[in-house]
Amino acid sequence: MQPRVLICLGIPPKLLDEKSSSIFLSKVYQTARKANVDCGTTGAFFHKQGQFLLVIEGEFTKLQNYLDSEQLAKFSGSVQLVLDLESSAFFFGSSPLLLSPDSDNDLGLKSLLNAEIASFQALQLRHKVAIENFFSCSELYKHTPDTQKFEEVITVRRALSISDEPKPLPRPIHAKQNSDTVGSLPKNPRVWSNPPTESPKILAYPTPANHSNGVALQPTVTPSVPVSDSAKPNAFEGCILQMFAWPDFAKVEANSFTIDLCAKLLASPHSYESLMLETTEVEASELNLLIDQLQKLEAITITRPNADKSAKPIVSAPVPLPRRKKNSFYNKMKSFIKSKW
Amino acid sequence: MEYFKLAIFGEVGSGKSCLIKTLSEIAPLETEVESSVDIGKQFTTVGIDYGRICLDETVALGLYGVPGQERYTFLWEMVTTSLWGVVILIKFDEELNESDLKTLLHFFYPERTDAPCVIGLTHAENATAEEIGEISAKIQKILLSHGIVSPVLRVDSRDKGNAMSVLYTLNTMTAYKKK
Repeated sequence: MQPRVLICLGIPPKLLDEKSSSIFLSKVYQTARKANVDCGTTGAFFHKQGQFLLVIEGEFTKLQNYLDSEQLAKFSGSVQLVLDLESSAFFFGSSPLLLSPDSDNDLGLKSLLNAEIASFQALQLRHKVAIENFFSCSELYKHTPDTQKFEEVITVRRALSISDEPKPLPRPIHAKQNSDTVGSLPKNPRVWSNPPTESPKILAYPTPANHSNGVALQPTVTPSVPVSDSAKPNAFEGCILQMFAWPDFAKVEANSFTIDLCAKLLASPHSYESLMLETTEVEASELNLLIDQLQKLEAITITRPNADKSAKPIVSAPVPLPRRKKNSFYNKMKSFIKSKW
Repeated sequence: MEYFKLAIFGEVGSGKSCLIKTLSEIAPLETEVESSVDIGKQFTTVGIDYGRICLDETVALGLYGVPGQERYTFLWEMVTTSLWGVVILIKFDEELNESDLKTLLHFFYPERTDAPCVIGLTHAENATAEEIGEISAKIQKILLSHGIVSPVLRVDSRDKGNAMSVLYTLNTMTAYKKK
């Protein structure tokens, strides 16, 4: 029996924000399906530092093909894998480790994995990441690793195109520093030393040093916009908002305004100001409240491009509803619904 | 005459016929017969249900209620042309048939259509938010694995407002659909 693996793909938002890659995920799936790769997504959640994570589980060999898929390889420079060491085996890099038929036992996997880890240590590319909490989809998934498991998670850059020349040590993914893959993050995001117990979710980024010394993880919360601030008026000014999944409508009212906002933010990132301009049916306070609610559900990604002066703003101008002819099907349907609803 | 189709999928008793009745402007064409086995209701659809919404003299939306089980694939083919939207009705009070849902999604997305999809949870009037959240998460997981981003809405097929909210959601999704 093939070992099962669980892999998280960490995709920086800047990659997803690019027009050409906005349908990145569905393209990846298409490619995987065309290659007859049967892999399932166990969940998706938003990394609080702005990375979009996709949790994928499947059989080792099939995932191998999946990760090798052309579509994914195209973006490989910007995609990170987060690997659950307790239940996973993997390969990547220029010289993949292939499992031999007799290695599909725990011992074989572990030794292969150790060898792989050692090679990454040599390349000084090892990071340890602990992640707590998931997007609601993955929370319910029984096999999704919990915090304890993820304490032993290793993060590595996919498709390193490993050369003989060791690459410089990337900065540790630490709350006080930007990950080099997350260009749009503020340079000095606010750090909460005493995180609330519930939302916002907690992320711990132990440095390799403190982890190896067995020092207890110090959870650090780095919400892109602290919830306490978001409750204040104009808290989202200058922010770019985007959604990657519909919210749980058991927790948010599925009224026309919410549906419209979600559809808009799912289609493309919008600046808060452009949303304000386009929103006519509700007050600013209601919009803030809804954004805040979506943020608590981790259904929305909010970034402040202005905080990092070197980062280009994702949206510089309001993005209006795509113009449609007056007699388009959309408009006719809209009028029909309006007359009946 | 411009003609589009709204395909409504679902298992026995999920509320397809009822949703079409609620939405249709014409008397729906039904293929209901008395059930020979106990399925929790007297009549069941043996083919497709058909209803229609006329937006004006030149544009209409056909409503097709199609069984969601794999053995009805030949009926699915019929609705793939000029497909405007897909509604998948799932009975809350029964165990989610993941296999059928996966087959359905695999059939339509992305090879055959890029029409927006809405998942409607029916028979969920007495469900708590937690229960709804739990099944929604399961469904979202399946949708994600097919690269589909769709909302899961609680739908009462008998309620006009609910039925309209499904249409509204599909229409809004169409408006912002990426070209």
